[in-house]
Amino acid sequence: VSGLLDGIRVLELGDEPVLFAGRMLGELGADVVLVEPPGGHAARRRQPFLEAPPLNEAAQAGESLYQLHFNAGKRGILLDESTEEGAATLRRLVGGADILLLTGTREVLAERGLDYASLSAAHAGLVHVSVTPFGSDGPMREHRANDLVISAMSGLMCLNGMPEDPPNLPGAEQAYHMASLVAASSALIAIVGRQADPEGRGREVTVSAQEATSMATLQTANANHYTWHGAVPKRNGLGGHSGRNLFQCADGKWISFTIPVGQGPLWGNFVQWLDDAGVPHEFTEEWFDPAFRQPRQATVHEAIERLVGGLPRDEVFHDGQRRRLLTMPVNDVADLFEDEQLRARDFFKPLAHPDLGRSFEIPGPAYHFSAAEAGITRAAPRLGEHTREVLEEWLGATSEGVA
Amino acid sequence: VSERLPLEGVRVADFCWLIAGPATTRVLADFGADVIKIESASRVDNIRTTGVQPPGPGSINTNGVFNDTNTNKRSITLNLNTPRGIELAKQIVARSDIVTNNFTGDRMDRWGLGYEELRRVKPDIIMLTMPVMGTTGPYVRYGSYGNGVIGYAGMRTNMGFPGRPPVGIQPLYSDFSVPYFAVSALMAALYHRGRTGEGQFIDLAQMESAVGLLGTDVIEYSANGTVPQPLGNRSRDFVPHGAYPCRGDDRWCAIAVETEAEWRALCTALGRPALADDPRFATLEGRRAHEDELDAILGAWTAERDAWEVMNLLQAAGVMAGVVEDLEDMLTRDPHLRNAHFEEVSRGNEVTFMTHRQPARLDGVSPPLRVSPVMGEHNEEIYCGLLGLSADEYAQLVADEVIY
Repeated sequence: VSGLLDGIRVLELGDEPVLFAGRMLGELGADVVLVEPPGGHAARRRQPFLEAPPLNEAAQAGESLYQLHFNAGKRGILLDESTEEGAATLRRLVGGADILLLTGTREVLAERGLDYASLSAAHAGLVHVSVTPFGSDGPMREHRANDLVISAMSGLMCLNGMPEDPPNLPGAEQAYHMASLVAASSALIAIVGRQADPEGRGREVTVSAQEATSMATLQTANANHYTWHGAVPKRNGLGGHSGRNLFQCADGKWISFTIPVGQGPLWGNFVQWLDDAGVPHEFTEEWFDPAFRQPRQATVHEAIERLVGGLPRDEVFHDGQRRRLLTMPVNDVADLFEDEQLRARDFFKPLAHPDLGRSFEIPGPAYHFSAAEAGITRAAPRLGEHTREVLEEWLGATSEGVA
Repeated sequence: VSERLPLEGVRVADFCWLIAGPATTRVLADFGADVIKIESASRVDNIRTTGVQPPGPGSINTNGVFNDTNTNKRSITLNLNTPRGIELAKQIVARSDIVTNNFTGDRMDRWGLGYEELRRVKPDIIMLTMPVMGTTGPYVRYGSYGNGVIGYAGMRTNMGFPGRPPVGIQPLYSDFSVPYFAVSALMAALYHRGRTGEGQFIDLAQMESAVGLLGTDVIEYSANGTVPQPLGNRSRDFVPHGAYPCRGDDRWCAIAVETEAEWRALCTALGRPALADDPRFATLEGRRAHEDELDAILGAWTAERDAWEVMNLLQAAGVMAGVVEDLEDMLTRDPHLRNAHFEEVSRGNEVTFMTHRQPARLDGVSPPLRVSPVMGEHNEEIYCGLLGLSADEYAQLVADEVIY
């Protein structure tokens, strides 16, 4: 089965913030080629590393799982952009690409001859995507940033954690993920626009990672809290978007428990649950009115503590959902592998390591299509693994000047 | 440079509500699609009533979060609990390219608006259903807000300080990350339809999309057999790495050092160049082994300074640093964000909203923003214009609470 983006060629030349964008486009069926410099992409030196001993000589001890995860589905070529021949080959590859994925400001890209103005003259159909931390124009365009610094400056980090702790950095590089999500989706918006355009013109797509990540604050710290009320939302620990959200169950595991916002049957379902479980409470008729409950939330929270404190987490989860109370477990990765919903949907996929003779599990695609299969179809490339193959396919000939 | 927005000519019959769905279709609307938001007074979109309201008597049309997830859309009211309402919904679908919804499980099927039914009225329709649990599996009827999705997907346990409650990432993170997966899926499907003429059904489980954001956690567990433990604000690749306290109440600056050159630059900026060669800190391994001491030295220096001053001093020295900005910083102190990213949109004299722009620029510009619609604002132009109902028919449907 061919992928939805069959025939779309992506040339990826960027740093870590666009790795996930390339992976997403590959999952959707595009031919994604990662261009690596001599010594390899920085991803190859990022932790975590493989701890299991290699099973044969070809496998590298201490191989980067970061590289294996983020470059899965891509082909890789080795190319030395600093040589004249390497730069010329790169330019010819760009000529064959539909999407070019880059990191860096316009100014920095122009120094490499990779800015949109330079490339689009000869290739009007190119969708040129570049990600920067803080944009190409603003006063902070030369500021350097990693995921932590972008998370901080996007307003996302200040919303995470217990009030008495420092603001918490999100796990697993969410600023890079947000930048990549916006980059990949916008690249495809431009591809659809190109398809509909009689002249087949591409676009320049620029993404500031700070702006992309700030989208994640849109509800919790909606800008109108400040412009209308002068309010500045901060991290609120166990709280959710409405009232306390996290509670610890009898087995020590945690449950996310949203008290129904609306009036009516859902509050009644909660009171019924307390009765069924034999948990004493004081919830008479007037408690059905949310306006009455609002100033008395602490009493409600104590009742939830008594209820879930006597039950194992999974029982709270399923019994709550059967009662339509939006209970959800707080899982770790080990829990996810046991999760019946993910198992039934066959979510985790094996990815064969080319040298180890074993497979690793990776997350499946975020979507199921009725007209195509989405997913990762090849392991991350060894350094330079596909140089010859890609040059032959894309340029129709072997090329000199490649490292 | 093209003058047209890229999605002009694409029509979306949008049954989404709450946040994750509307945030998806807002991207389509901002980039030029004609998104028709189909809602009803019989089940008012919860986000019209919860969130943030201006001072004074707010209404279902003045909610800040609703505006931020519904710009550039048209709104009609339609009561789907009437047979005539279902017929009209199908007439809109027949004139659309995409149908979207984020109802739990099989809600659209129970209305008679499932994919098999809709492809009869529009054979090449693209239908996206994006509930929390997807459209198959034993938990298909389970529901949740984003605060449950992030915990379910492992985004509460993979961060934070060791031994602290698993509060995780801010509660509605999935509502604003998952939409970009959904947009990507829809664009891939549109591209496919353009090449083959074939429409399709897309099943997107929000919690699966969120698990896809766990980075290396899954492969690490699978390959090394260990559940990755939260590191607080530290990193396995960078030392020092964290948020350091600055002058003032709850003020912090994030600092990250990766290379030897950055380490030396940091020590020089601190006015303590000799620290770079201190035997405890001279190597990356040493800095990692003495990270508590290093954090204490750095924190003592930052605590005497304003967070913006710390950022500027360190950036000037070539060290990665950034203020932990709160909303007030984003709108008043960040030298770039307010102008580059936020835009005010108004509905006459009734209300002015501060609104996020799309973070992507196409050919250097942000698409224009039109304020979110009043509920039912576009009833007449869509029912009488797009569907061609007569004035009498329209009036009767309003009287019968079908257009409602």
